[in-house]
Amino acid sequence: MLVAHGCGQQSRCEPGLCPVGTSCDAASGQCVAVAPGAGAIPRLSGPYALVGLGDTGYGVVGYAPALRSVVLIERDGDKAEVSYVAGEATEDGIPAGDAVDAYAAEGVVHVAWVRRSDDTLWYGRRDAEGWTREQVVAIAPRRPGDRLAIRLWNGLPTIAVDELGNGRLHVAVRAVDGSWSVEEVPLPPDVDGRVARVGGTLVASTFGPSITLAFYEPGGGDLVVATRSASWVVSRLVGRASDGVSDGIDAGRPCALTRDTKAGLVVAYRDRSGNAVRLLRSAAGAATDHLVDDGAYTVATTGAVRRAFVGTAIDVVRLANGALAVAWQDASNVRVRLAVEAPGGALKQVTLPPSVRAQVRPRLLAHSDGALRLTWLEPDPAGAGSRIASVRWTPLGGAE
Amino acid sequence: MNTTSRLLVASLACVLACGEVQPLDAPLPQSMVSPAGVRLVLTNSELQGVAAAVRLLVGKSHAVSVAPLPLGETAAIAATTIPVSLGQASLSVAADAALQLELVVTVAPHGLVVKGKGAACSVQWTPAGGLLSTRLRFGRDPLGALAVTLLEPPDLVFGAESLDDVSGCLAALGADAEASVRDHLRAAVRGTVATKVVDAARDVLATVLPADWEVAVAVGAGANPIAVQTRFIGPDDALIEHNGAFLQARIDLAVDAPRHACVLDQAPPESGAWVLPIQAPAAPQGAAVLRRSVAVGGAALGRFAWAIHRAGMLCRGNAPGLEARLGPNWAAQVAPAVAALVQPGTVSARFWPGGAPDLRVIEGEAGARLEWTLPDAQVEIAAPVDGVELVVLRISGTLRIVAALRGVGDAWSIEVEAVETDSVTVDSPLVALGTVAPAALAPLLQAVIAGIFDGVLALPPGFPALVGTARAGDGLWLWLDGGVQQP
Repeated sequence: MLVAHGCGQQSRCEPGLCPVGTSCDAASGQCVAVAPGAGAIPRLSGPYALVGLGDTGYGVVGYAPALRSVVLIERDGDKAEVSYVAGEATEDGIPAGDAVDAYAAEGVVHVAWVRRSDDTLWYGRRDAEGWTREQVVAIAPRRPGDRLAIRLWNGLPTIAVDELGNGRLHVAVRAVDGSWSVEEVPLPPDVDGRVARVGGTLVASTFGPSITLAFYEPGGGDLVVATRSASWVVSRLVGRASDGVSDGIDAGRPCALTRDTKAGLVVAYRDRSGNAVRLLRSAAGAATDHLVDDGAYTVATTGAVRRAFVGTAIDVVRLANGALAVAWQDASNVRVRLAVEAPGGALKQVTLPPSVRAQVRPRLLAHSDGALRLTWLEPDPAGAGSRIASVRWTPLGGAE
Repeated sequence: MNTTSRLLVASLACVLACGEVQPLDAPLPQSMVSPAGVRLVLTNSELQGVAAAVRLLVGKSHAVSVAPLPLGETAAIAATTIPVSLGQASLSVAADAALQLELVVTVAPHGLVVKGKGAACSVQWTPAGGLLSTRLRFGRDPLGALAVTLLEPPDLVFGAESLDDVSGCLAALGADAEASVRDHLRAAVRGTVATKVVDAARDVLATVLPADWEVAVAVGAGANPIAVQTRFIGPDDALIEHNGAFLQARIDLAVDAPRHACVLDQAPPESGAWVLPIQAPAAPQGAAVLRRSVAVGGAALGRFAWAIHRAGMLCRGNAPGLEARLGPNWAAQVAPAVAALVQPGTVSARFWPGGAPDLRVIEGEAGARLEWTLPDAQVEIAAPVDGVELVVLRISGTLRIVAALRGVGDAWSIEVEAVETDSVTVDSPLVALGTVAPAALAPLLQAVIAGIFDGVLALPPGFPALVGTARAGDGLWLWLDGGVQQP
């Protein structure tokens, strides 16, 4: 029997196919109301962004499938507030997509998303006066892909996005007058002459007058970093066709990016060939590569050492005190892991509170008070979106 | 070590993992030896293939140059060229373990010109078929090195022959002239043909009985290479024997490996003497001129499986293209609860063996199969869930994996044909599974295990092709092409 929609009299609903404003309840098999506002926290799916709001607050920007909308979930202590950035839950009523990223600075939230119904790139801004939204028309006629990142570059909202179909990389910058300019990042071919393209993840970081993008290049299986100050400098840092370190592996899917205290580049990435999470520090043309986790664990009953799938999702931040923190996905146990740089420079794994729930997609946020926020998604067993969960970690108090 | 010397090592070690080949630092202890665990075999028909290969290598037709032969002070047989052809060839093993090669030599009737003071005249040489025989041996020299050596000079015996001196040329030159001519012609044919035959025989025999199969090497990349040590055994001058059905050379095989952390520390299985069945298995069909066989006893195979396990070579992940093997509905067929979460995309898998495997050779369709029984094994299957690769299924228990070793053109491949389960448990770190369809589990595991272990073995260029396999008692019989390049 074809279940064309979420609910039928003789059938159970299917996740993702319920009408807007409802979600598929696994227990009853019925589409149940998910009311916007009224304290209900929408469930999310796909990538999401974690942004800092105030000294201790944070916001999660992601796609709520039940609402077919991009939402901002603001949390501060026990308080939670949901606002609707784009999609059917907003006034325009047009579904948003799950390609979304966000950045916040000085109380202003900047959001980029792709509206897949017409393959358009959008920018939203929430400040003290509320939300404003606009289409990044300068990107047209190119169609945005699913990988995008937004940061402030020289104080201007800047969106990096791949191009649907060919994986080319473009950077759109919003000028003070509100106009957008777009340039294509010149990606060099790999050693076999194949045209490079963006795959896997795309992340961005800015420092002073430069912006750095990191992404996985599927043709060479490489972690590629592109930095623009006066002009673009693109390097294959790690991977099969790399010109950097650890040549011969499939690396960078996924990856995350930050800066160390000396403005050096720090990239956390998955070495897929070696099944490991690694940390690459690059400064002044020299790079060092460190193992963070290879997933090794001892089987209690036999003593044999096996290795969990690790690093299928990754994030990295620099804390207020300069220490690095890396969070990654333990895919074998469906748990998130966290390591924080100790004073000697070593990364030490942090014991997280036990949970019976699956944990997916760790994201990190460095609070200005020195604390660390780790968030993750807890998938609904029936596939009806994921609940957001988090812990706050401090050097003295640990994770709580 | 040349190409052929890697045969024994690679045919065993490369079944699951190849890598660099390095000399062993020290001999393996006697406790690790499987006595006569490997046999190099040439069946009676393969022996005749060796003989045929020698004939092909030498060439069927030859033009033997005959130098002028002075006859007395005034006459001489003029220089000439005699066409010679090599006919049927045979190879047998004598009671003293010598390899006796015989070839029929045919010389066409040939006219000879006798030049003297007067007008030239001619005689006609009509030899009957000749038989060229030579004896070689495969053994050790005084320094212990293995070699194929010539036991004694080759002999060419002609049957009845005639030298028709119609015009009486030779008779006029004296009573010894005819005998001198006969000896001169025979020596010319023998000298040319015998030399070529002996050289070819040594080349072919050195290929099918390669001295450099005696190795002491470590095979495999990384910190856990498998140590392999082989040694031909027997009296120095008789390293081969014949039982009426086949020639065999016995080889002691020793294997060992440092323990990888992913496996338990287990003692190697017992390794007793192996009795090779008296009759060789039925040979595969094929047009090969030359074949040879390697037979590996069940106990030696068991030791090898133990070493592969101990070296961690069974702890493997990554299965490129697994999603294509599985098909789009794999999760729904096994565990609907998982199917609700899994998205289309790359599927990965990882295999963890538990205890050491039990390896048996079983009969299969058109050849033998290797049956690996792996206790306490675990398979993890990871798939995209909400855009993140997560382990969605864990299957734990005893697995029985049936694999075929095949020749594909010049390459060797290993193919997993079936996976059966024994008391396995299936769970997911992501979701409570509820009902699992047991009938769907075996095909799923077969696709996953095949995705991890199937593949073309990384053998050196010029490696002998695998012609076929068979079960020989509890051992594995491998037919190989002869490794002799056709001229």
